[in-house]
Amino acid sequence: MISFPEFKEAFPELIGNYPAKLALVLNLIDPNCGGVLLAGKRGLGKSLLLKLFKKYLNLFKIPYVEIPLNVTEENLVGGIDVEKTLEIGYRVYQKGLLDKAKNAYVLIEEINLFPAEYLSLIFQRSYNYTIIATLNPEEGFISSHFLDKIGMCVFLEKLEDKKAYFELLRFWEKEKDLENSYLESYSNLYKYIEIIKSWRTNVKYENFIWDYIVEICLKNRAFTHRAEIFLFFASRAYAALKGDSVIKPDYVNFVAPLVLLHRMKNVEEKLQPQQEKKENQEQSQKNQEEPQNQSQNKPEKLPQKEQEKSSSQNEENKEENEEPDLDSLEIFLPSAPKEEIFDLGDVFKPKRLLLKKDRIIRSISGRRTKSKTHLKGGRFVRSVIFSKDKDIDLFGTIKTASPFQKLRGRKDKLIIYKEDIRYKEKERKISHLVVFVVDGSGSMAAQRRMIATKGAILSLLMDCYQKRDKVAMILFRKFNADVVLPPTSSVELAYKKLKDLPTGGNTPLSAGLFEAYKLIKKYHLKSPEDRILLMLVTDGKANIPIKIASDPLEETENICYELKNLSYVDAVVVDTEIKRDFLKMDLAKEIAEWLGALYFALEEIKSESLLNIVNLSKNFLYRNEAKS
Amino acid sequence: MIFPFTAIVNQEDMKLGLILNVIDPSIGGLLIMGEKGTAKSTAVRALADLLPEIEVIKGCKFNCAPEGPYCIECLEKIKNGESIEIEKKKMEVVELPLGVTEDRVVGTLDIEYAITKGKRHFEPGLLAKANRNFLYIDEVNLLEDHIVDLLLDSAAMGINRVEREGISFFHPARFILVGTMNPEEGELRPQFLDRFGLCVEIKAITDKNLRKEILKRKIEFDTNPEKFMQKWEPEQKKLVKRILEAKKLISEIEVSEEIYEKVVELTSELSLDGHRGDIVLLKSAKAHAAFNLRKKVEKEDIKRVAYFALKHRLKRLPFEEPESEVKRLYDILSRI
Repeated sequence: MISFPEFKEAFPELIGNYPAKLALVLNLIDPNCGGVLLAGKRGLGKSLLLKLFKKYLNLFKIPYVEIPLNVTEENLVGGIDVEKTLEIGYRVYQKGLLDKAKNAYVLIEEINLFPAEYLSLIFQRSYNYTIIATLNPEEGFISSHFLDKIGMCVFLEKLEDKKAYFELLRFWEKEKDLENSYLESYSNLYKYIEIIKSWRTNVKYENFIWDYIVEICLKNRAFTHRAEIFLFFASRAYAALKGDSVIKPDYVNFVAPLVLLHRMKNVEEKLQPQQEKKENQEQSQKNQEEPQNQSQNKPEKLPQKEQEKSSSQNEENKEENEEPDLDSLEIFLPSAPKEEIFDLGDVFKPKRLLLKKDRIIRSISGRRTKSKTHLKGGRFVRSVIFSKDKDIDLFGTIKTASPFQKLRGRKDKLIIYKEDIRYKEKERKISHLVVFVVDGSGSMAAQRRMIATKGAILSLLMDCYQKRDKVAMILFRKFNADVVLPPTSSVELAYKKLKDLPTGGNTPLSAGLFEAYKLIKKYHLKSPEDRILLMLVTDGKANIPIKIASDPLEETENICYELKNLSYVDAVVVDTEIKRDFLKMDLAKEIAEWLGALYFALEEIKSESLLNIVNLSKNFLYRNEAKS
Repeated sequence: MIFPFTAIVNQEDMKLGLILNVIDPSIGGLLIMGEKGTAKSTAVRALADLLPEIEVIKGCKFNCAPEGPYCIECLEKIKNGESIEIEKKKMEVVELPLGVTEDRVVGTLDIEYAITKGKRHFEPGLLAKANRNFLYIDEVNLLEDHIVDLLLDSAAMGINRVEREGISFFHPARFILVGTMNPEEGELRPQFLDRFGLCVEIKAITDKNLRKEILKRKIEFDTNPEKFMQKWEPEQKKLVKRILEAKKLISEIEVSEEIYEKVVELTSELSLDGHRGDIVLLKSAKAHAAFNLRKKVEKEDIKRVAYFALKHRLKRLPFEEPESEVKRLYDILSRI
């Protein structure tokens, strides 16, 4: 019986991060494991690990394909090489990267930054190849639909152990020749993996292991069948790694976190730094009374960090005692809001909010504003002489060439010169992200103001639904602001969240805007071409600052200016203050000015009472010009 | 090698929906609403693999059937009195990827021909390939609007008419449209929704034993596909035989006056928009009767297929849960 001493010795240039190394080794043993997604913040070694993996593949001539972020659709799936075709006169095909990837490893950096269209192409045939990808959750996640097709997911951890940290510093102190270091270790790894590879098919399984796998998946609410299938292959590979001839439950336990973490519901939300989540977590911990999780109760400044750490902690624990508790995988229970929840008010047709059509070329699809596009999709508008992407308009080209055929002495072949070539200009509607920042403070509860507010938001949501906008929602109340809904195209989901929006407490308006600012910045990184509409719904009576003892209104003003300086953001303020009240302060109007936003009183947003569309869009035009 | 259709555990609604469409392609396709990892695309591929070869006119790029309808090229051939040869072809699943371009869908100018001969000529697109096959769209709700429009056109007419880049062309485009979507990621336009003849909802199976069976079969298949196929061969053959018989039977199915009345009663009580609901309901009830090798449509047939045919056509405002309407549908059905 063979036994690989330590998978921990694999990829020695990266210190620690054993779960990630294990995942990679398992995928080398059996590509049926379905690939690995290496997630983590910047500087944790995702790319390094991918590079090392590539080094391994290079060293031992294992086929792989790299897909860079700047890939074009033609390179991805292949197609007719138009320019060559025109030159030679008969059809020349070029093979796409994905055609070459069959039975190989596909390496993708920053997978979350690919446009959805490309991801859909990449994942459409993902059963043909094994994807190893990196992702920085700060810049957004990929849709759970795609996520499900990747076998394993590991969150890289920051080194907590001081000794290891020193080791790392010592290691990177000197310039490294990555290509040629540790070659011996790599060839050892290769030798072992080759042996284990042939061994893995000898690994037997007993009947109860099926039940065991199914049970783990169900218990962790990973309902897709891929979870079980990948878990099976991973367990088998791990059994082989251990030199065993049967799959034991221990092995399943050991690899389960790799396979299940990203398949449990709401993995994306889990990675959002959210106060509320932490509360829930604490709640659920209390409910479950789990000693292992108690350690997480330590107060932390950054909940996100804590969550990442705790997940890796779990994994570490697993390594140490080899007898992990299934329930130690984080599971969040939905919190039962104790606050008042108001019904949705009447729905009405809101005014159309149009943004002007600009001339920036984008690659986004949606329905609100038309924009030029450089993606292959989009509606063909006209034929042009110059174009960044080489999408040749053949008809236009031939048409241009046709008057000169006689002059050029045409016999049987059409004679086309370089100057005849015309390109396609296409247009499609781009979409917007509408960020709702909603005041959930006690003042909103007065006279059941929240009902009307919810009605107004719902009406705006309906508008987003028809225009295929993305929506996000931030609620601020009590002492902080939460991203209730990260950017999503499911307006349905927004509706569900809206229904359960609680009210009560103070008005931390500046925190709400700051949260919006962070969200917008982050979103802009990922989709620099999307336009963003900030929809602030509040009465403006800010009374809780972010920093203790500072003036909440002053803070708000500062953040408003920051927001105003973002050229890709338009803002609308919906004032929910009751205007016939004695104490009316019109603070929201002031905030609208700070933001450079359109201002409406709640009642005005109903379409009958609003200004007409022309005025509205003119207003936007004016503002956009002023900005640029 | 493709996972055998009959070995797919449970998901009876989806399987039946697909089979009914094969028995009578004029039902108009199937929309599968469901979560990820529930064997949606496996089922479609498996069914196409299962079905016997179809007869097509030899050399036709559009898979024209020997009995018509024909494309321009075949029409010309027939007009000129040329003899038509017939060949057999396996049914295909033509996949429409999300980022697809207009020219890829409807076809475009044939570049090679244009350059070498200097003449306009049509190069077929995916719709040509999909004629008499399955057209499969994963995540159909994320498809771009202008592509959806193209599909709406052809799906309704059964013909792809191309007027672009200086070419005029048409060819038959009768395909079984199969779409999948996860409603949480956005809705489908009502008009497009209505084009799908049937709609089934599938849920992830949470029964332990069923899940175990699924896992077992999948691993069995992955480790030794040949052996697995052999094991399922008799089941596969049985199903093919049944579908073929049903296909023959469908033209002989009788519909009594009472059944007509029941259908109309059902749809008028739900006050549906348009008549597609009634028509699809009746057609699929007929197909269901044929599948059960009966020559007469019974009430049971209606009961079984009504939910597929009408669920996605129930009246519903955006954001409104269709629960109450669904309940009404069941109420009415129980009375029948």
